[in-house]
Formats: sequence, structure tokens, C-alpha cells
Amino acid sequence: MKKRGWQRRTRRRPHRDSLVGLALLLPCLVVVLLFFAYPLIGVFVRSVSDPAPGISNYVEIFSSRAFRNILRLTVEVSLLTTVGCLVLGFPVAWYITTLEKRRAQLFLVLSTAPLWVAILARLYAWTVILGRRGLINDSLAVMGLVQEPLDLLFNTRAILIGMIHVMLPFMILVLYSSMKGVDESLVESADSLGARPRQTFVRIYLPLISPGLIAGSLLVLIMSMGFFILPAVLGGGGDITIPIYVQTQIRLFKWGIASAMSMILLIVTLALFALLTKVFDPKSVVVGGSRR
Amino acid sequence: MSKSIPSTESRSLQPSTGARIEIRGVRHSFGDVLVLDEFDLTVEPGEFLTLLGPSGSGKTTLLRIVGGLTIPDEGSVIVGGVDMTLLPARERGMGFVFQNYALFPHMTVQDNVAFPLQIRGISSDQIDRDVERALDLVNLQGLGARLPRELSGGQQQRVSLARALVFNPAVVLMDEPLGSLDKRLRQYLQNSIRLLQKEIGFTAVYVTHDQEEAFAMSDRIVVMHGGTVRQLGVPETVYRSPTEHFVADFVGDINEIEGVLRESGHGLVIEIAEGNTLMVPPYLSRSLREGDRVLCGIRPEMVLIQEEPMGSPRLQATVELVSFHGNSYRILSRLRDGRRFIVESSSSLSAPAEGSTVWLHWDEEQTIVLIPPDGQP
Repeated sequence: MKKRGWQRRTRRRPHRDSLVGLALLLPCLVVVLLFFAYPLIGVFVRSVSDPAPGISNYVEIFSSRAFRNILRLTVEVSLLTTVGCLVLGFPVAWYITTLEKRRAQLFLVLSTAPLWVAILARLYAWTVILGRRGLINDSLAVMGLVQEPLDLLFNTRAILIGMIHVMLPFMILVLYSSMKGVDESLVESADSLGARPRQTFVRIYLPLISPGLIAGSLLVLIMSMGFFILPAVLGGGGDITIPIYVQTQIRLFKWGIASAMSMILLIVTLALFALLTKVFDPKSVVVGGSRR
Repeated sequence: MSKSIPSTESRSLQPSTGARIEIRGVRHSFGDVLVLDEFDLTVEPGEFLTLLGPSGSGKTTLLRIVGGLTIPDEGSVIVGGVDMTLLPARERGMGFVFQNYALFPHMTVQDNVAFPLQIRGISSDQIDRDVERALDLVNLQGLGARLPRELSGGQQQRVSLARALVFNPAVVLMDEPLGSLDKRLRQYLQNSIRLLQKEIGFTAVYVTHDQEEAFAMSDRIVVMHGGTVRQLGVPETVYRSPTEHFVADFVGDINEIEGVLRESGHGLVIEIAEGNTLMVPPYLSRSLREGDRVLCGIRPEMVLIQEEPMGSPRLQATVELVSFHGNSYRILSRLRDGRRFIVESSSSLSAPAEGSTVWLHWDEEQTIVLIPPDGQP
């Protein structure tokens, strides 16, 4: 009898394990459903019902030339930010992997230090640096390099500078961890088999860190797409991105348009996500590299 | 493509002549730790030479220096008459097999083996033929489309070997390539590697800390310790006539008995326990004097166990434990002075009973006579 009871218990265990798993998942599930899924559905419903049922909000948005500019600016700035972070972050992350442990930790802390300072403080610091009577313009004027102060602030370029500045630490962290995971003997092996550094880099190193490249790019891209405060502070009057546009519509109590716009932002972001994962699929990189 | 890579002509995996490797006065340290000290070694063309030593003996560092993965602080490496000391690994054209296989995880077996050929700009038809032949050679026909992670450890190491051989290197360097495989597979691959090496004729330098592996595969063995050569010789010599205590102990089990030199009627003899005397080996006769202490080593399998005393030298012992190992018994016994003494005898002979008193005999000439590690002769 005793033995049977024990057997029954072990046989039941998979079921019980899944119950335990569900119980552990529950708090998080409740939060996600309550504070994410429910509002999202609400936003969608509002976008097709306010002020009148139908897709009039979407029609209005897509027929407007201004909106197309807003969409293009949002995507352009986000993509350029991603590229900028890749170009600037790659060498830094790589350099840190070559350091011995203690120095590497110091450099990682230093490169992520900006994250400790409140974002608004950092953005207003940029207005001080880039302004018409700011650090750069004053220095240039003192050196006699410019007659008129340059327009560095309140334009798309200023948004880009700020955006890259804010996103770079994330890119460096993600790239660093994937580069740190590359087995050094693979690089040595390519070397011993006769590959020149460029060949080793393209055919061995890049494919091996491609998961990190994808993850870092997606992280930066998605965060950039939805960034509100930065374009609002550093951008000029014409630099309206989707989040800023949504905020203006809400101020005008145009909830329907704002909701439709948010849905579009979500869809565009997901589309870019899908596109990037497809283009940078590790397998496709590999096949492209090693088969003729 | 690049002029500096020793060219691979259109033929492939045909018997090549190995290159001579000369290592001259190589010295290398990591920080304050000296890992190689004034190291000299010549590896003959087509020879299979093993660097044997415990971890930290500098054997892997030496291999990496030969392969160009580490640049030595001092000294030079000359391969096939060319000074390669400062040449990067990619221009040396040597095959290097890593302990962890170092297969490119994102490439198929086919692409891994093709990699060194593609780098050399060889036509794709030729590459296909060469890769197929290399995979044939290591018995991996038909697995070209697999990814490394879909193979077993032994198969992965064979891919790594095929990749190191496919471009016909005159020198192949192997860093504990079988270290993480189980015993049976290791023996199988030891034989495969050795047969391939004899067939193709490349010069092989092999690193291991496993003395049996070193014995089984090598033409010659270099026993290393503390960054220097402790003994260089064919496996039988290293095993039977080690020149120092470290080597004797590292390459196999050994029973140690202290001895003192005494003058007998006809010259010096070594006196050991129980009134036995051993003759002084000729190569030591000039350096030893009366009263000097020596260590006499007796390998377990050289001992004959008998119930009655027969001839000399002989020692009386009590059997403590008999363990059966298939082809042999290992008999743990204790001498009258309390020392342990291990005997290995063929399992075709009957084993003595535990607790019984036996006599241990051995051939006087097979005694390994060593100068003690601490004392001066």
C-alpha cells in the first residue's frame, strides 16, 4: 500500500510541476494582463470608436501628408540612432573585452555611468553644450573659427546626438556580453588555418556575435521609436515624432486619433522588429558567408 | 591568394614529407612566472613527438609558440629551415588541433573542413573533392551536412583533425586533443591519429599529460617539468631508464626502496633492505662513492610473486589487498619494514591469498637506480 502511494505521487509529479509553474507565473501574468493587455485593447477599441465607430481615424491619419513626415522622421531617427550606436559601441565593447577583469569592470561601469543621471538633467546639459551661446559655439567663436553661432540645438541633428548619447550604454552592454562569450580558441583556430584578420572577422567573429548585434539593435531601435521626452526637449518646432504627436492630440482631447497613432507606432515597431530579425538571422549570415 | 601561405597544390592529402622543427633557446614567461626556460629541442621530419608533463609544465605554451599563437620572449623557432619565430600563425601553414575541438559552431562539418581551403582560394570543385577525402580519412563519410553540435565528442574531434589535415600541412600540432573523451574512444582515436600520421608523413607534435597516451603514440617523448626538458627519449627508455625521480614517478607506478653504496670484494654495490645487494649500473658507477644514498625503483609489473624464496634480490612481504583488473591482478603488499609495495601480475597466474606471506623477486638489471631528489650523491 505504502509503495503504491509513493508510486502514484511520482507519477503525478509532472502535473504538479506545471501547477507550481503556473502559480509562480501568476503574479506577473496578472500585472501584464491588467496593466498592459487591457489598456492596449482599450487603446485599440478607442481608435476605432472615438469619435464615431469605424476606421475614420486611420483614414484621416494616412491621408495627411504631415503624418507621413512624422512617421518618416520617427523611423529615420530611430534607425540612424541604432546605426550610430552600433558604429560607436562596437569598438568600445570590443576594447573592453581585451582588458583584464578588473579594468574591464571599471570601463563597463564608466560606460554605463550616464544611466545613473536623471534623463532630464542630461538633456538640459546638452542644451547648454549645443546652444547658440553654449560651450561649442563659444569655443568656436573664441578660436575665431565661426562668425555666426552655428545652429546646433533644436533640430533633428540635436535629437540624433542626444538619442545616441542615451542609447549607447545599452548597446555597449549587450555587445560586450555577446563578445565576451566568443571562445577565443575559435579565433585562434581560424588564424592557424590561414585566415587573415579580416577573413576571421567576417566569417567567424561577426556570425558568432550576431545574436548580440541583433539584440542590441532591436533594444535601441524599439526604445528610440517610443522616446518622447528627448525629441521634445532637443528637437525644433518641425521635429515632431509619433510620441510627441500623440501627446499633442491628447492635449486637444482627440483620444481617437491619439489611439490610432499609438496603434500605428506599435505596428511599425513590430514590423521593423520582424524585418531586422529576418535580415540579421544568424543562419542566413552563416549561409551567405560560407557557401559560395 | 596570399604568397606567404605555403601553397597547397592541386593534389591533396598525399604523402607529404614532414618538416624539421628546431626550437632554440626559447624562454617565455607570463608576468613573473617563467614557463619556459632556455628550451632547446629538435623534432625530426616525419617524427611523432609528444610533450608529456603535468599541468603547468609549459608544454602547451611550447606548442603554441611552435604554432605561432604565442610569441616567445626569447629564442627562435625554425621550421623546415625557415625562421618562423615572429611569423603569425596564419602564415606558418601548420595544422593545429585544439583540446576543445574549436569547430566553428555556425558552420556545417563540410564548411568547417573547407574553411582552410577557401581561405587559400582553391577552386570549389577541388575543395569538394579534398573535403570528401579528408572526411573519408577520419571515417566521417556522409556527415558533411551536420552542424558540430549534432556530433558526439569523438566525431567533433575527428572533424577538427580533418580540418587540420585537409590543407596538407607539413607540421600538425595537437594540444591534448583526446583529453575530454572516454578511455575506449581515446584508444581508438590514438590509433587512428598514429596511422594517419604514418601514412601521410607529417611531423607531429602532441601535448598530453597522460603517460599511457604518450607511450602508445610517440616515436619520442619529451618529459617536461618546470619549463625544462627532464628527459627526451623513445618511450621504452623513458619508462625503463628514467634519469631522475620526477620522470620515474610521473610516467608510471614505481616502488621505491632506499639503498646505500658499499664496497664489496669486487667493487661498489648497492645495499638495500633484507641484506640484498644490487649492482651499480655502469652509467652511474663513476658518479657514486661508498656511503652515497640512492633510490631503487622497481616497476610493479617487473616483480614476480612466489610463496618460497628463490634467488635474489628478494623481499618478504605480506599481501594486504588483491584487486582484479581483467588482464592483471594488482597486489598491494607490505614489506617487513612497513613500506607499501605494489605488484602487478598477469591474471593468467593465480593470485596469492590476502594475508599470506610471499616473496617478491625481480630481475636485478631492471632496477631503476636514481639519485634521490633532495640529497646530493
